[in-house]
Amino acid sequence: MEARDSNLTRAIEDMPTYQAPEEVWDRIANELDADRPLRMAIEDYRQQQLEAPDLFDTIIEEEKPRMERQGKVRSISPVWMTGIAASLALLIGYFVLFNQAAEETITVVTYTETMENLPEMMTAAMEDVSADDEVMDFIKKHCQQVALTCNTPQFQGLFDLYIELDQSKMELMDVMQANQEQEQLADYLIRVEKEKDEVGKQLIQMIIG
Amino acid sequence: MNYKQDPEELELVNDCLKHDRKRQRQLYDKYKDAMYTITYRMLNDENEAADALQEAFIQVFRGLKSYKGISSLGAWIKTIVVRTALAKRKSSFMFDEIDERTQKIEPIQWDSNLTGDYLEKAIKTLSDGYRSIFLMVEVEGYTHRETAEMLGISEGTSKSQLFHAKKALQKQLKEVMY
Repeated sequence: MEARDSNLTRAIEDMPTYQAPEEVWDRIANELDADRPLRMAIEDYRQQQLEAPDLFDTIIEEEKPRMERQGKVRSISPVWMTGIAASLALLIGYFVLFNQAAEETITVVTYTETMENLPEMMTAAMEDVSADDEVMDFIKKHCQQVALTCNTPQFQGLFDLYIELDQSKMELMDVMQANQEQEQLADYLIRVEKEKDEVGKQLIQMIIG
Repeated sequence: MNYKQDPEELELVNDCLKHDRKRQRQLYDKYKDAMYTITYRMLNDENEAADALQEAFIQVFRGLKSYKGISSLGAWIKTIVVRTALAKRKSSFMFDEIDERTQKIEPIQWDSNLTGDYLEKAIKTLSDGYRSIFLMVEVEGYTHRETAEMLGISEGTSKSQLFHAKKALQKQLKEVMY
């Protein structure tokens, strides 16, 4: 076995070697030379930088409606906002009372806000909704306790609809801000807000059971 | 090779995410000229370049939370800027899908007096498609794969189109230089 290996090694060592033809280098050098003026000109061209116009204020102005949404500014339809807040408060109040009564007889399961049992899509969508959204806050706090309900297709369908309505509302608010003279947009916004409120109520009712 | 994130850059991103106006301005000022240079070169029009810059930076501020630090912040912003500029012109691009195996791509002889200024003048005369592909690959350093993905063409087409762009550029340079 060892003898066979050494024979092979010797044979490999005895194999002829070949020299690279001179013209290969010539061809490489030619190609490098041909390309060199372009490479240098590109380097020179890269260094030439233009001065940008100052667009920062315009960019921030465009970004503003979104930032305001995230920053808890709600400037439209105070009547509707009050109505919606009141109906939601009633629902949430009912849930709190219901829960307190239940506490006397059963041990309430503690929950965290990590939403581990909820689909990832739902938790991701929640991040895009304003921090002061009461329905979303309610879902975050209580879905952990009723994870089975929150994972049903019916709940998720309603949840998706709620997110869509929220996005439509935000988009409408952006458009309204840009076109303040268009009053019909306000009516449309109210309709979207009402529908969103209805869906929100249904979601809370499903959690309350 | 993995990109090692610059802590100062990370801090800047975090401050911008908190809507710190001064830090947002700082980010804009840091990259505006380089990014405007790209949009202007690609679009060949001051107004369109400014529009693209504005659109791109709005996307940058809105999408900053999705910046994962895989590449440098500048490279991430540049990709947004290039994509935004491309979106304004893409409909006018007409690339023929060419099989690169049947194409003979020969080296092009460039004039030894070529400078950045001549190059700029000649690039301006190229068609939108040729200009974009030349800028993306040769000037901005994107690979053919990245370029093809951004333009929605095959890698082979990107290579052959670059060759044709260079041939067209060489022709234009003769007029610009002499």
